[in-house]
Amino acid sequence: MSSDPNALPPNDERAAIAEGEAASTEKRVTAELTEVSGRPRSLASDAFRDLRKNPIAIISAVIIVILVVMAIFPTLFTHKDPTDCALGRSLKPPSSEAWFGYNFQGCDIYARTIHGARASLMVGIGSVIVVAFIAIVLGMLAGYYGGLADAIIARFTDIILGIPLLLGAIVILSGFKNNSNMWLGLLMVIAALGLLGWTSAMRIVRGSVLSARNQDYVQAARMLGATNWRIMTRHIGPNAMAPVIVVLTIALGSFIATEATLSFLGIGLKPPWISWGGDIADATARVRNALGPVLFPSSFLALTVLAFIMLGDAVREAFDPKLR
Amino acid sequence: MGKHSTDQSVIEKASAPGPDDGGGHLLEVRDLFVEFRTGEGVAKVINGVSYHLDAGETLAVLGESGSGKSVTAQAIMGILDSPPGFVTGGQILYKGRDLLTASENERRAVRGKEIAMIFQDALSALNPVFTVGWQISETLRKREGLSKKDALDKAVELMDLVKIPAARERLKAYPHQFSGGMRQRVMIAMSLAQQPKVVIADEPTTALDVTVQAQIMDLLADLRRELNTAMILITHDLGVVADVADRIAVMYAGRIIEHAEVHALYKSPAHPYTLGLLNSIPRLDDKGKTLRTIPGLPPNLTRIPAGCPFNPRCRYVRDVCRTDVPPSVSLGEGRDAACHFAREVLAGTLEPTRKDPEL
Amino acid sequence: MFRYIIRRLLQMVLAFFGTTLLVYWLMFAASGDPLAALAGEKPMSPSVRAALTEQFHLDQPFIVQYFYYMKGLLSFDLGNNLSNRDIADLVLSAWPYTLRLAFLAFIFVVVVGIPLGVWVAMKRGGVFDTTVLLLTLVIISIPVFVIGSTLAMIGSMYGLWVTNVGGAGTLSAYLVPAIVLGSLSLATAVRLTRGSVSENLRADYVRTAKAKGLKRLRVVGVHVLRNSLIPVITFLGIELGGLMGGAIVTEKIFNIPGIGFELAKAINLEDGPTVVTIVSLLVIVYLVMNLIVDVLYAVLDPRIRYE
Ligand SMILES: Nc1ncnc2c1ncn2[C@@H]1O[C@H](COP(=O)(O)OP(=O)(O)O)[C@@H](O)[C@H]1O
Ligand code: SF4
Ligand SMILES: [Mg+2]
Repeated sequence: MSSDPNALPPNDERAAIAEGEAASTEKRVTAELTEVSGRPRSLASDAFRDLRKNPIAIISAVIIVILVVMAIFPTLFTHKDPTDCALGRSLKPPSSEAWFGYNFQGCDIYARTIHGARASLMVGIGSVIVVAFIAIVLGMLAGYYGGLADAIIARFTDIILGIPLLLGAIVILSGFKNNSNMWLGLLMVIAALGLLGWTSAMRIVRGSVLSARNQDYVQAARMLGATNWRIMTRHIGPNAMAPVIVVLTIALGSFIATEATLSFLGIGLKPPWISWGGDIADATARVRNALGPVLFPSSFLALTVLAFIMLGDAVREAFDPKLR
Repeated sequence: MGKHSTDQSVIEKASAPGPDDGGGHLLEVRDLFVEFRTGEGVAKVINGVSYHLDAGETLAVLGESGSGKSVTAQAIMGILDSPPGFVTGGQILYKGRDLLTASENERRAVRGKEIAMIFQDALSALNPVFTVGWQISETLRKREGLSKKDALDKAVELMDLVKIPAARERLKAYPHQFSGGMRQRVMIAMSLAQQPKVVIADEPTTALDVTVQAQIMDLLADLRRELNTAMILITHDLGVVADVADRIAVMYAGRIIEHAEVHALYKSPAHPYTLGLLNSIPRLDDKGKTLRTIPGLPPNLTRIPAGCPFNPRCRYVRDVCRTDVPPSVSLGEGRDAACHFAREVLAGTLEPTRKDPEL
Repeated sequence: MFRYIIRRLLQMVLAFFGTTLLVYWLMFAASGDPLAALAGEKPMSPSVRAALTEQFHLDQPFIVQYFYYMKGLLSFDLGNNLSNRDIADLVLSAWPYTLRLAFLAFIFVVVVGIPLGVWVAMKRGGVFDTTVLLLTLVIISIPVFVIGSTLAMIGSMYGLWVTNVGGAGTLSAYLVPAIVLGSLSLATAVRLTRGSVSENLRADYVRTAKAKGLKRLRVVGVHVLRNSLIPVITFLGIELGGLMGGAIVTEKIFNIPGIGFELAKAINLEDGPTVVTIVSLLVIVYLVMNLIVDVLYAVLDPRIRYE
């Protein structure tokens, strides 16, 4: 696993699952592709057949679909207004009218939890898009051109790796204070996570490109005068897909967790955003004798992160059955 | 660790001849079956292998890659990867005692001390994080009860024995700091540490350069003579064994298909497969001619063909070969061959039914 | 080995300047308004404005500001925070609490994580292995602050353990916070150990060790473990650096007056100087741990030592 002595560890444990283990995925995937170089599709279809039979993958996928629906149409799940709070109802226990009870400010916890999905998913997806872009561009440059480009990118990666994700995000978000525009606030969180969280994905892309580049059919395409752009998009890109999807899926879960942590610390999303992290912070800051206000948003948050990480893990396993 | 009494027990028991006495052979494999149960199905890797070894002699086990030479050796040592590998039948008699029914402690007492093994790729077979001195002397410390210093002195002797120059200075070196040939010498020294009666050398020279190969083979031949150790020399290279081995057992698809004294086998093989192997050895007068390799590939061990397993590749194949498994035919003077037409092949009177595509 | 360390050292010096420069730039220059970054958007008196400008040399070009800042950081002259307290003082008084917490968490990770990882590796594929593997994924998925908040809430509701440690807390009061802080590292350590051990169990040298007639306990406990622990130990080394930075959430929840607590406080007070200083210090600790781990790697793996 860590046979490369120069490999610094990733700056995030969740990414480590993807990176440490997906690195071998990428090796295997390309190895198998050489064996069946005529029809590289079969591996992917095998993997999908495996995935459809894997209960963990199915459950994770279902949870993710429900979450996405929840984020887009929260009113399908609740008709309550999450911002309708009345101190008179403070900390009232669950009832048929408020399934999860009321929090300290007297807001319906169920409604707030449902409405919290939107912010989490937007941050997660947004940061993953940023990460995918940076990782693919830098990874392809480093892997395909090697040499100086690779060395410069490696040193730059070292710098980013030297900043733990949470600490780096704290610095960025305290530098760019913005309490006036909620959308700008969201963009800042996305940017902070995306700009610091791409290192694992970049390494995976670089590794895939590196091994794909030396493959016979890529060499042949080169000889035949295919342009670099064409080689990258047609030959190397599809090869690097599986491991990159794995690492991005896991990163998505990890970004949602980090956003919640930032909001918990009071530096992530701020009202009027409804964020699970922020609600959990409120619930713990004021009182220490009501479990509900902590437990419900916590469960949703944990389940969301878990769903993405499990799905990523299942995909990785499907592409690498020998790992078990 | 140093439980000498238990380590010895199997041998003491064994030296008393019992009802199960293996006919006086030092080591005898009888009708061994091994299969590997993997996701892709059950691979029948060893299908009734029998061979024997007497004190001080050398048996060469020859066969293409994948024919089951190493697996047989691992079964003898009791170091088969299990799962997926399982011994499903047969006996492995050491001094008359069946190792397959022995307890793990009894088997362990045999390993290294009675039967030692030299592995093919010394770089991966040696532990990368311990010094060679440490590795050679490990069993001396842990099993023979020597002090650290005595064990290291003994390790130096062993390294001298296998002709590693400046042995004492190299005690503290790590495996990756040695050349391929020197590493294999370390491996050999380690296998000799406990003065085993039998050494199984599993393709000891395959991973090496040609010039180094000859040196290692010479070393093995010298050591065998000096120490009077019995040896099973596993190889896929017929050219290597002529000077070293007393007898040869040829393996194909998990069976011994021919077994003979070296010179008899070289002079006139009794199995078409052996004939093919002999023809594929490059000779001086062959210059310019294409080598006659055996056409085709060994069978998939999850689907071994009916009848003679060699029939899809055999130049002499007849109808009977596709239906009946050839029994091992005894040809006298300790010669056996598993071919329906062994006598005719030996006499050179069998007509080919196919043209050799390479001719 | 010497050349290896020199090369890593050079790489680290580069990463060190790059990282601190980036942190500094993100804090001050990137937003375009360093004063707002330092003190928030609330109105600021001209004297505070002048003091900040002087302290951070805001009238100078950016790179000169950075130079002054680095000089201060390296000589531990950290300046004052917004409420005029010496940041170096603050750091020095907070540090012992964080160290105590991080070390306790570290011990928890090592003592539980490695044996558990080895054990599941040897039972690979079984029910126990699958359960532990799933459990580690669950732990990895639950953010530390969720585990912490829940445990704090349960602890205080039922009076099970100390949830408000404060400055006078005894070592036993740190137990639950240390478990919370270490949970993520623990789960990762178990997975890493499991992967490393099971990879090594398949290595050729294991077969050699068995063929020598060694007992299984020795084959696994000496031959396999010595190899498998190389990546685990390096991971743990870096974790020790990471745990100190990660203590921010745990210290906030359990009210432990360490570095992380001060950082969380500074974030809420929008005290820019404290935030950037503490983060820079934590990043330096993290980088130094990285370097130590690199050296450790060379010490543990002769293939690198004798490159
Ligand atoms: N650990 C294993 N798992 C699955 N199959 C194995 C294993 N070891 C050996 N085999 C199979 O057993 C057959 C014989 O292998 P081996 O004895 O190593 O051949 P060789 O004659 O080259 O030494 C091969 O087809 C190989 O695929
Ligand atoms: S039995 Fe038939 S197929 Fe088999 S080796 Fe003899 S002649 Fe060839
Ligand atoms: Mg072999």
